[in-house]
Amino acid sequence: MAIANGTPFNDALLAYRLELPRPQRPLTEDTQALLHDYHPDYASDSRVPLQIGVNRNDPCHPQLAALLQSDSQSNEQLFEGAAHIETDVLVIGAGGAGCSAALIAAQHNTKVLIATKTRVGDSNTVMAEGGIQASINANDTPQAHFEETLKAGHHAGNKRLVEQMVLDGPDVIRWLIKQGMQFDLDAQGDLATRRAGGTSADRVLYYRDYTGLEMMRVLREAIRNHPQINTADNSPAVELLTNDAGHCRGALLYSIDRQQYTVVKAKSVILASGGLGRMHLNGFPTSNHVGATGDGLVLAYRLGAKLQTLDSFQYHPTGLAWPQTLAGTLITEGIRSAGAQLINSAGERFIDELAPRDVVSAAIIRECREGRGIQLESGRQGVWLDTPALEQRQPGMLAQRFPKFLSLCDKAGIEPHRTPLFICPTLHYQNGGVVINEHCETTVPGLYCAGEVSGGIHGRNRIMGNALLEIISFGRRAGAAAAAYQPTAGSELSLAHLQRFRREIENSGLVSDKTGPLLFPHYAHFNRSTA
Amino acid sequence: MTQTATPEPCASITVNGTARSVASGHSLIQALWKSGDPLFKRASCLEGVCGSCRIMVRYAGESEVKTALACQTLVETGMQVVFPQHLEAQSAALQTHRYQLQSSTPVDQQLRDIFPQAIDCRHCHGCTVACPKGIDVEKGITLANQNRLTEAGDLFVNCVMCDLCVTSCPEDIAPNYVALFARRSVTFNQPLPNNLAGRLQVLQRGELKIKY
Repeated sequence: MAIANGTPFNDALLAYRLELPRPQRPLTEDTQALLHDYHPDYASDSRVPLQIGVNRNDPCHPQLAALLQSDSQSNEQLFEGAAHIETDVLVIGAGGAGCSAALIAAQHNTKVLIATKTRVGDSNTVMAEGGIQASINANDTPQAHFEETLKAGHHAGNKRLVEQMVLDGPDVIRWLIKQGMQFDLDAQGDLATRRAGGTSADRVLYYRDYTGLEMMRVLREAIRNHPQINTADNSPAVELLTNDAGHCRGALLYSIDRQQYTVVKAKSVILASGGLGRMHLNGFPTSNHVGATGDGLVLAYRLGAKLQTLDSFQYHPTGLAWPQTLAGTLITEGIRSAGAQLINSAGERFIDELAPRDVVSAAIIRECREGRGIQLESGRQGVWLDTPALEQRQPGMLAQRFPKFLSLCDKAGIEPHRTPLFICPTLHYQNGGVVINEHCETTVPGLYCAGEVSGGIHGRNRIMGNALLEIISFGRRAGAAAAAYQPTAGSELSLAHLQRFRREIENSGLVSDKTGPLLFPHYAHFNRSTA
Repeated sequence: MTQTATPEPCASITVNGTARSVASGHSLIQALWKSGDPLFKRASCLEGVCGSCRIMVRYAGESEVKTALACQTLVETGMQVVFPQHLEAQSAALQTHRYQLQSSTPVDQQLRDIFPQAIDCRHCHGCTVACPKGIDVEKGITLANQNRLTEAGDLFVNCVMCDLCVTSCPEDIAPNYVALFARRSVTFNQPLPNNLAGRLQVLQRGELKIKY
């Protein structure tokens, strides 16, 4: 599709007037058509059938497909030469899901090792701004939370998982408070709430726009203080390991610090390794942390775990598009929830800002494609987030509620009470992932999953606040189930699953020099042999 | 803020003692990436909230060494930058601070037990100067020593646990961990907010089941 030119950035900035009215373009009634025409997931080149593995013939984003079907750098020699350690439960990933899983697993005298590619807490969780959903207000019900989660996900979510998550909500908040996590309170001392796009009730709890930071601070400290939990920083998992029955019994870790491999033998493994924004699907910028490279999907798929919804990703509507150095940085939906509007180059509103995220993103892309966007010299297009008008209606709102946002503006040299923010959609979240059941079991015995790496909860689109709820709800469940699991078959570890997978690669003519997992984006210049 | 065309001019900087020429107009992390530097251990969120990319920096013509986060710092010709290693986890200060929030000991006594060094604060301002988030860290320790834990904790809303205050403290106080203990224990010991407590009771009675 031809893309019309937008109004040059500097011209649009000069034309912006706080005092002018904001005319409303006709509201889009057919959101399906809007998504179909403009959302990246719906483009004809956005999916290919997988050729090997459990999900053969299932649709998958082409960049992810190439990675899932890539070879491993692991081999027998490397496996034989590795040091060996043992634990009861191995947790891979140390964001919110991994940390809550570890804390629950360790409750009953279980020895837990939590291994992370970076440091405990370096994750997408720590960056989460919007908040966490839990139905706690008298005018709201878990039923409404349930229905709105499914509806926003285009009814592709697993009802049983969604039911569990929404019913867990209030107890998840209680548990977090008992870890020492603070939430903003209203004048009556109740937990303050705000509304997420695509929902009918104020159900998002938050701590300023630092909800993820506050959560991660306390979980990291709880992990550090737990006598049963050991941590391995800078130690990405590069392969999962099986016993002779094909059950998951450990992983091969690579120590970036020591440039050595370690075989971790465990009774069970929890994969909580997060998403893949740093794959920059379709060339989009991303809001994700540097380590979000889809490693967990690659490891689980090789092992034979079934995946789902591999062709659906969330492009968050409001990524900062200017200045270029900060492109992709997220601007929280909380600001739209507080009343900030989106306007095009003509100063018109063009969408209900609190429609589901996929719809808002598609509408922004439509404005740009049809010539009503604003354009940088680089060609990147976007629209305005009208923060000056918000601040005019509610003076002091930004300083009171959004300190992280103001610090971002400060760094960007933007005065958000005078100048609108130039935004465009940014790759934010992997909607699908490893198939799990209500106990976070995957299709491979001994392997559990929680958090963004798992699929089935958000369907094909996620609403604000459900990610933080999901990671704690299912993190705790995974921790409990993995600690209770008693392996039945043998404990001799091997890379046998890799041999099978390699045969499949060869038989289907997919041989290439591409290897996975990626571990880091190419521009970070990581290389395992010289790290 | 107007958009200006940038033909990628270069900045001459020093990183960990090595002279470098990097693309200007970028954050330090981005500039080093563009120059082909392997940089993955000391960069994570790129939004200034994870604390992994902390640096010490001296700008051209200045004598003072400042602290900052590399993802939040634009490159400037003449700047000298050091990425200090994160060694605090192995430091005596952190190894000895171990606690559980659930305790029969009163909170202020708990604080003395866990962080016995806090009372030795010599008010050198090192921690406050070191904080890249502009937190008055030393005041937090003073307040904690006066058992004013809520006020102490409230000063640390913006803390990203970069541990630069730990590095700078001559008394091994680990100030950010004192503040985090204050925040956590105050929260832990408060009654649950009413709307949450009410909903938990209703759920415990088995009401509000989900209908498909």
